This record gives sequence, structure tokens and C-alpha cells, in this order.
Amino acid sequence: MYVLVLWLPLVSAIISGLWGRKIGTRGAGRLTSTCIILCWGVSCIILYEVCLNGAATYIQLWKWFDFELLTVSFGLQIDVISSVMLIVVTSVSLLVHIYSTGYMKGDPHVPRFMAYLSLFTFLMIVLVTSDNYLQLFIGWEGVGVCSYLLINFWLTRIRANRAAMKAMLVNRMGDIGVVLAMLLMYREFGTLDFSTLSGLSGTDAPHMTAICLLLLMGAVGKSAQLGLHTWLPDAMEGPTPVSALIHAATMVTAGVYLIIRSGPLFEKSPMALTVVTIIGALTAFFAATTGVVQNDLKKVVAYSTCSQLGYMVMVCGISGYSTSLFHLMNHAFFKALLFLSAGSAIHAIGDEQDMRKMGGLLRAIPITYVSILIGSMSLMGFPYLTGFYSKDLILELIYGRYYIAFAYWLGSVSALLTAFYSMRLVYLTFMTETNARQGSWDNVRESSRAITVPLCILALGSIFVGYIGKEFVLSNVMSPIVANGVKMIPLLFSLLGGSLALFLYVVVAPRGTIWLQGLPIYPFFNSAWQFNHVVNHYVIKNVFKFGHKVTYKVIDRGLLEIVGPEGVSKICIRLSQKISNLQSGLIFHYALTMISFVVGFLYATA
Amino acid sequence: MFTEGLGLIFLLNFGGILHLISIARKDADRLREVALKWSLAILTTTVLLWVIFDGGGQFQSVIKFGWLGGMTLVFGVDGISLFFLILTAFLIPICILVSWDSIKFLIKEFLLCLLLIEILLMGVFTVLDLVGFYILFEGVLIPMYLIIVVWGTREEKIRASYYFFFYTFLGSVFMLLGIFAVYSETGLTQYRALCNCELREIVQNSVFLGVFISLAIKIPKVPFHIWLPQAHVEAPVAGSVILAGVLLKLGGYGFIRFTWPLLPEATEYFAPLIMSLSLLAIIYGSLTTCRQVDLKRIIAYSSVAHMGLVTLGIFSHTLQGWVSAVFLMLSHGLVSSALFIVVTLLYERHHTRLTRYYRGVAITMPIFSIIMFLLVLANASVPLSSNFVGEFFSLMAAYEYSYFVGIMASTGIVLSATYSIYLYNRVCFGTPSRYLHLPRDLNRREVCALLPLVVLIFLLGVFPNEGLVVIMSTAQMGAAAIE
Repeated sequence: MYVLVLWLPLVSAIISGLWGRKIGTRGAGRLTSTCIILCWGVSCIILYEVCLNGAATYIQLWKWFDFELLTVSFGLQIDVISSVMLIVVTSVSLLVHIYSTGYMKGDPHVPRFMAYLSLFTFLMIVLVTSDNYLQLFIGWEGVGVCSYLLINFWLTRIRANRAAMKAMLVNRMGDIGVVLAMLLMYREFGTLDFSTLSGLSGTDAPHMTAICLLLLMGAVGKSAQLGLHTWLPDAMEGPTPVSALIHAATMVTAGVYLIIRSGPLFEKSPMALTVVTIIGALTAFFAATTGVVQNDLKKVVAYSTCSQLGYMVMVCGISGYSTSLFHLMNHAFFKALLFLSAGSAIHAIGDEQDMRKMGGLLRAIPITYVSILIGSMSLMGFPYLTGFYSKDLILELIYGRYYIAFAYWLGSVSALLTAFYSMRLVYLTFMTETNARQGSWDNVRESSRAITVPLCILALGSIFVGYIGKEFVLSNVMSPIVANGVKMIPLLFSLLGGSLALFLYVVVAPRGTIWLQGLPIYPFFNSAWQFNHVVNHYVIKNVFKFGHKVTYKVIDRGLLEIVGPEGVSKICIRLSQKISNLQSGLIFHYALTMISFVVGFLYATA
Repeated sequence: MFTEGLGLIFLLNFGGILHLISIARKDADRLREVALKWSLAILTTTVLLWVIFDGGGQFQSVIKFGWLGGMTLVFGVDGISLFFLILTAFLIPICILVSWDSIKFLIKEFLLCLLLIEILLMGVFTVLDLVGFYILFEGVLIPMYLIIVVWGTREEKIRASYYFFFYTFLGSVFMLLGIFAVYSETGLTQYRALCNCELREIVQNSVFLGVFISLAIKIPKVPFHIWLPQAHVEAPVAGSVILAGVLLKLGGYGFIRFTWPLLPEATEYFAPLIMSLSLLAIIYGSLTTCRQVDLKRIIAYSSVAHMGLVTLGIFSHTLQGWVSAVFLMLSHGLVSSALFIVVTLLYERHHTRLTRYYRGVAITMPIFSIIMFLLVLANASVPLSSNFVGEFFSLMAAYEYSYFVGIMASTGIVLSATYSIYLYNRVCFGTPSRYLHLPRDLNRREVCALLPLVVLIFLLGVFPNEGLVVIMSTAQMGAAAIE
């Protein structure tokens, strides 16, 4: 039965992808949703069996490679991490499937869309249930491909095309790291299985550090950490359900999952762990600063995802893998909620994404407002909501490690900024006087039930998952003992950030916004620290120029042709012209040629 | 039974050629049908050859011919040549299918050329004699040259065929000299006997250089590669398929056969040079590919990069290197052939090969877009495609050889994705271009030609083990012999 969790989404993807015309829009929606519901049911059973009853399972399907060099099997390995990931993936995927049937209504390509979503779910399940790095890599690349397809879903839009390509290629940068890490593992230990690798003892530290840093590189690409994060905000060009499923809840957390999975390896390399913390903390801070000044509703949420992923990576760096997994799970719920309700708002106001052209939606679409408010509160870590349990714990754990105090402060400041942009988002979108165009404002109404029901379920999840889940996931984590004052800092920062936003926008508005935009640092933050500019203008452009001007024009179509066939044919023609001059008809010319040739020949053979 | 297997293949091939000759020239449909049936029969036989193959590393199904002045020409199959036989037999019917309508004149001669190429290739992949190898190796050139010159599409084809002939012929001179040197040293040209001989180092080095230049031109290695894009661009689709699918593999096959087993010391000596050339091929080839605008040229240059990975495997002197080289060659034979077919299908509809004129093909040709997407993924070596298996083991070999080589070679992961995805994005996505008229999706014949390739590519990626085991056993035999 466990194997069903793997095949159901694949079957539904194939059927609705290839025979979408036959089963129709509603058929595709029903078929894929039913399959994912079954899949979710199975993963609930798996969670019960594996997590509560402690019966970790391994099912081998077939041997992918089985010869002298390498043995890698294709199968399902389900332990606590996998089962938690499974439940996250299938529940968010299920809700997104249902949501999409409402959100994509009227689109001619719904069956294709549902097929992509199901295919993505399948590959994500492959990723989280594998027992070795190579099978993980199938899912890893596969979800990248699906993300490419889904960002590109509205394929006539050039911006979507660009964003999709960017996502794929930047991810590939990270994939180099994963491939090199696998090769190094194979070279040093001769295996790619998690179980064997985690059982290693007394290994060579430099290689471990290299492996871990390379894995980290993969995670940086997939989880949009600082350096390779540029694809994530651009990926918001895709349909909103895609952003919720792929770019918030599941795919982007694959990098974090990789680090959690490779925890036993990271444990052997203190240096790699420190790097992990630094990168995580920097990402959390960077993305929060950028999120504060974005005007696109989805981009704010995207940067906030980036920032939260930073938290997850950061806490991995101090060996808090369970906490990271816990935050991953919580984040999946409240961030999916935020995205889906943002989508609902965008849908309602006529596909407008700029927050400056929204406002006043509070009265028009109350369910969406409530969901976005709950999601934001949860994200800010408001006490006893889902986000609170993990975010607070992360900051406390980080505080316990005195030698990376800066991570703690970056994390706390990010918490402040998170609260700031969350409140800003809520205020600009829902509370202030409306700035929408009359035409779109007149048509604003709450979305259909297919959209609101998933929102309500996710809202419940964003309230309760943290409270319930901490028993499952955090059973082996001891809360660190810190002074009460310190314990209150994250909460105080959050409250401060939230009130600051309200103060700026409500009390001193519109001077507050002007003041904000007048800050000299504003353009820098608004353009996401100029990463795109630097990469595009100084790296990519030059590489492409080199590919055309040097390798193609100068060498291939120049040098090699002159030295090669063109030159030879020219020389041949010139030479034969000269030699033909020898045919002068004068006997002594012929005699001289003959004699010199004979002499030369005799000399050479003698 | 097995001993007759190879003979049966040759016989069938001859039968096909004779049958074609006996058919009247104007009966075009019958000509095509007959050629297709014979080539399918050959394919079946080669697959049967695999079924009864005993999995050992030895040469099997050996047949001997009396030949010039008492010499005997020996043919035999081992785990490496077996797959090249199957690849050749697999691609020929596909060539016939895809050029069903596009070849409009001299059909009989065209089909004869294809079957002639097939029999010559079968010979090259099984012959166990240096002189025999040389003759057949060069023999393939003639029908190939004819295909480019006669059935090519543009006037540029003269130049392309000149490039093709110039390079390959220049190379073969050196190979012939090398074979002479071996013969004058040992008095032997038989492959299996030569494997047990040890040549002097100076002889080895000079022979190696000769053989290397010839094979490097064929494969092609970077300074000798400029004939390839030219020839590909001008050749008709069947020409491109055979060129990319099998002819390039002759170089790699020759490297596997002749470098390590016959010239171990020279190979060891020159390996670093070739490794660096391979790295150059990967990076340089990929960078150049990224900026091409001609569809066929893009695929041709990407072949240069992929073949760089192949030689990287062969000269790393590791078992995984050998295995990866064979596997990657097979897989590249399928992927790039399929891509050439895909590109030609576009060309046949819109009569341009410049990417600038294409946009939004996905809207008008959905089936085409699905197939092309799968192929582009395979070209970018996404896992579960056969290219991934080859590339992974090849990188593994490179890494085993040296960290630096491994790391440099792995940049190919990003670069190959860059040009593949860019190609696809450019052609299939976006608003439909106004230059594209006649938005006709693939017909049944075209799907029949492409689908086997696509299915095989992913089948090999999901279940690579059967093939890998056979290749591995042969590679182990070879490695043991070198030690």
C-alpha cells in the first residue's frame, strides 16, 4: 500500500496530461484531486505507522544500478523525516489541487496544469522517500523541470519564459554541487546510500567538509539561499497555486531537506556547519530587508519565503535538524496559506499584483482577509500560532550558541522586519483607502468555494499544526534554558516591527511612506541588493560574449578555417600555379628537375 | 547457433542491397518499403544477437574470411561492439522513415547508400583486423559523402562536403601510416594477436599519434571539429542522423579498441593531453553552442561537447570511464539523432533553420513540443534519461582521474542545460511567430520515427542495468588484459 503514495500522482499526471482532451477540464480536476486525496490518506497512515508506532519501512522497487561499480536501488525508505515531509507535500498539494480547480477556471489548459501539478507531486515524493543520493537527485532535478514547466505555464508571456529559464539554470548551478558531492562520496566511501554514509565513523575531515559544502551549494540553489536566490522572486511569474505549492511549501524546502537528510555528514564537519549558519542567517536578513520595500504582493511573500528558508538553514547549522524540519512543516502551512490567499485577492481585484493599487479589500473579501491575517500572524510568530512554536525555538537555540551571536541578532532583526512587512502587506492590501481602478473595484467579490475551502483548512493548519506537530517532530529536542528577558526578545521584536509598520502607515501616513522611500538605502533594498545586475552584467554577459566573439568568430570561423581547409586549398592552388610554370616546354628545365629529384632521392635513401 | 549470428546479419544486409538493385527505379514506394523491411529484419537479428550473447567479455560469433595473399579477415562481436551494432541497426530504419517524403529524386540510390553504410558500419564495429578496420572505416566515407553532396539542401553543401572529405581523409593518412608502422614492427595486423604483443615505446608513441589524429577528427576533438557543424547543417536528415548517431561513435569506438589494448604506454603518456583537449571540448563546445542561431548547428556543437565527455571517460583509465564512454555514446547516438530529426521536421514545415524565426511552436504543434521537450531534457542529462547515466559515470571517471578535471567537466552540467533549455524556450514558447505558416503537427509516420527513440532513451535511463552489466564484463576483460 505504501507504494501507492508514489504511483497515484504519476498515474493521474499521465492520464490527465496525455488524455486531457478526453476527460475534460472537470474530469482532470476531479481525477487528479481524487488521486492526491488517496495519496494523502496513505501518507496519513504512513505517518501513523512510522512516526507514532515507530515502524520505519523500506521497500525496494528495482535495482537502478547493480553491477560491480555501483549498486543503487530504486525504492521507498520511510522514516520520521520522510513521513513528515510526505504529509507536508501531500496535504499542501491536495489543497493546491482543489484550489486550482477554482483558480484556473476558464483556462483552456487546465488538464495540462493539473498534470504538471501531479507530476510535480510525484517527483517530490520520489525526492523525500529515496534512500540514496542518486534517487534523491532524480526527484531533485525532476521538481526543477516541473517548476520550469509550471512557471512557464502561460507560455506566451515573455516574462514567464524568462523567469522559467532563470529558475532552471540557477538551480542547475546548485546541482553541480550535488553531483560533485555525490562523486566525492562515491570516490571516498564507494556508496551513495544514506544509511551507510550516516554510519561512517572516524572519517577524513577535509573530505567531509568538501562534501558538506558541495551539498550546501545544492541546497543554496534549490532553497534560494543568498547567492543563488535570484530565481525565486522571478518565479512569481507563474500561476499563484504554483507559487504556493512549489515556491513556498515544497520544492524550495528540498534544499533544507537535503541538509537535514545529510545531517550525520554535516555533524562531522564543524566548519561546514558554521558556513551553513552564516549563509542561513545572511539569507534571512537579506530577504527580510528586501521584502520590506517590495510593492508586488507576491514578491513580498516570495522574499519572506526566502527569509524563512534562511531560518531553516540557519538552525541546521547548529545541528537543530528536528527544529528545522518542524519549521519547514509549519512554514509550509502558513506560507501556502499566504500565497493562496494572496492569489485569491489578486484574482478578486482583476489580476492586479501591485499593493499600491489595492487597498480596502477588507470589507469586500473578508475570508481572504482573515486568512491572510492568520497567515501573517503565524509568520510573525504571534504566540500560540503555528509559526510561534518553531520560530521562537530557532532563535532560542541560536542564542544558546554564543560563538555565532551574530546569527542570533540577524535572526532577531529579521523577525522584526518580517513583522514589519507582514503588517505593511495587510495594511496596504486590505485596510487603507482603496487605490484600485474603478472597473476592477466594482467586480471585487469573494472567490468560489473551491478557493475558500482550502484557505479555511490552511488557516486552521496555520493555527494548530505547530501545537500538534511539536509532539511528533520535536520529541527529542530539549528547549534550551535561557533567561526570561532573552526569551521575550523575538516576541518583542515582532511586536515592535508590526507596530512600527502600523505607526508609519496609519499614523504618519502618507509622510511615513515618503520617509521610507526617501531613505538612501531604499533603492538598494528595492533592487534586492543588486544581485541580478551584478550577475547579468559582469558574469553572464561576458561569458556569452566570449562564446560568440572568441570561440566562434575568432577561433572556429577564423583561425581553424585558415589553418585548416581554407588555407590548404589556397596554398594548393598557389603552389600548383607555380609548379605549372615548370611546364615550360624547354628540355633543360625537365632535365634539371629530373636530376635534382634523383639526387635527392639517392641522398635520402642512402 | 551464435556463430552464425553475425554472418546472418551480413547476409541479410547483402540480401537487402541485391533486392533493392533488382527493383525498378520508378517504383518509389516499393523501394522504400523493401528497404524498410530489410532494415527491420536486420534490426531483429541484431537484437537476437544480444539475446543469445553469453555475457562474457570474449569475442564471440567469430567468422573468418580468406583474403589478400593468404591473410584472413576476422570478424567478431564482444560486449562493446554488440551495442554499436544494435545502435546502427536501430537508426537505419528510422533514417528511411524520416526521409520518406523529403528525398524526392534518386530514391533508389539513396536507399542503397543507406544500406551500404549499414553494412560497412556493421563491418567496422566487428572487424578484428587493423587493415580491415582501416578499409571499412574509410569506406563509410564514400556513401556518406555522396549523401551530403547529392541530397543536401543548399549550395553550401559543396563546401561542407569538401570540409568533411578534407578532414577525414587527412586523418586517415596518419592512421594508415600508423598501421604500416605496426605491421613493420610486428608483422601482424590481427587485432587479437596484437593485443598480446608489446610494441617499443617510440613505435607506440608514433602509432598513437597517427591513430589519434584520425580518430580525433572522426569523433571530433576540438581543434579538428569544424567539419562537423558544416556537414550537419548541409546534410539531409538521414545524413545527419547517421553522422551524429553512428559515425561520430566510430572515433570513440576506435579509441576504446585501439588505444589502451594495443598502445598502453603511449596512451598513458598522452592521456593528460587528451584529457585537457576533452575539457576544452566540453567548455569551448558548450560556450559556442550557447550562441548559435542555426538549429542544426546548435545540436552539432553540443555533440562536440558530449563527445568531450566520452573521451574524458576513455582516457581516464578507469572502468567506469570505459563503461560511461560506451553508454554515453549509445545514448548520445539516440538523443542527438532524435534531435536532428525534430529539427528537420521543423525545417520541412517552415523552411528555415534560424531560431530567430521560431516562437510559440508549442501552441501550433503540441505533440511535437512534448517530444522535443523530452529530448531536450535528455540532451541536458536530466536523471532518468540515458544521457544522465553516461554523464554521471563519465564525471565519476573524470573525478577519479583528478579533482580538477572532475570539477571543470561538471561545468558542462550548467552549460548543457543552458543551450538545451534556451533552444527549447526559444522555439516552443512565446507568442506564435508571424513567420510561421502551415502549423501542422506531426503525422503518424513522423511519430513512428521519433517515438522509438524517445522510448528507448528513457527506457535506458530507467533500466540501464542490463546494458551496463554486459559492457562492464567486456571492460573488465579489457582492463585485465592491459594489466
